[in-house]
Amino acid sequence: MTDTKNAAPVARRAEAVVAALEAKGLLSPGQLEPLIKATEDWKPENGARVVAKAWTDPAYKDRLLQDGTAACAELGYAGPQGEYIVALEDTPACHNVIVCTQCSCTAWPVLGLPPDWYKSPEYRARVVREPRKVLREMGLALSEDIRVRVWETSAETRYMVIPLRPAGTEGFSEDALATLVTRESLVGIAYAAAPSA
Amino acid sequence: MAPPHYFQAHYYERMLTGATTLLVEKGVLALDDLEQRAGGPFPLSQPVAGNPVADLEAQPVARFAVGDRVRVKAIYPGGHIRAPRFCRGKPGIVLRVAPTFTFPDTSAHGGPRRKEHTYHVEFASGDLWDEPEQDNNSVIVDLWDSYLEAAQ
Repeated sequence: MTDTKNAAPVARRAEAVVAALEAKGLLSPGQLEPLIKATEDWKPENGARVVAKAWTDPAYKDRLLQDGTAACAELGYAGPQGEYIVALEDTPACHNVIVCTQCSCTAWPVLGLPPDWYKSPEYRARVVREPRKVLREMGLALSEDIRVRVWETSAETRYMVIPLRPAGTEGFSEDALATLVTRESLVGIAYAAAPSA
Repeated sequence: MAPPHYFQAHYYERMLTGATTLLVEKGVLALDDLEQRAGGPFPLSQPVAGNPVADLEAQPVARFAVGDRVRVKAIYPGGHIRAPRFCRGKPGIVLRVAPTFTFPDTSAHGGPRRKEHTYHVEFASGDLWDEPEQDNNSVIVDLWDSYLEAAQ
């Protein structure tokens, strides 16, 4: 039986693997640094820029819906876990929400690494079965006539939601609109934020 | 991973455990060396159960198109599979044909890296659950070609 109670602390185990790989010459010192740095470039602010552009530029929105990967790359957002991006457009009649029930895959270049709630067994198990209840608990109450589509990231497609553009944002610049698009709204557990009065 | 270990492990501990198990199984690193460096036990994943991969014919060419009615095969192999259990045996409709990607069941167990299309298949909540929350909910699952068969 695996001895998990007396296991070495997980950070020590991770350091041990790195040290062992370096001792074997399979990893050179500092080789991981660029990768760690790259993770800082993957953030939901990127997805927010994509959405803000789609809200203000109909031709861009068409391209985004036709070929999400290419449209995100137009703005410089591409890379691992972004090889095949599909954008899902919310409408007043249909709300989209994303989950990865078996793991926690997200479109890194536009959503960033997944937050803890997205990785929790509770969210992953429940949102496919009772999405309205889960969304309500997370602060998003949807009326019964709104259709809910739950998109399961079980293969290689990486989704992002284009949330509804908030009312009262007519004439807003792309920059101003982008500040209203949160990571939560890109996954579909929240609406884009209302503009502050 | 042992179930108790899996459920109490942080997300990245699972990644670490999986990757390290492979390195040890393939003889790249030695467990006693790792435990000595870590200063304590380094629990790894257990060996894969028997019959890890279902016997599914490779499907290099897309067999389905948008609008087709399909059913997920009711297969329960002992190893890695990416068709969620909740949709196996259930009927759905193809919404989109995605590009080809490596079929994970075989590649996860050292088999060939065969490529197949995946499909975004929409399942009505009423077809998935005995007591659906609401009729107008649906779940769209991204499924490799060989998981699917044509449905009436």
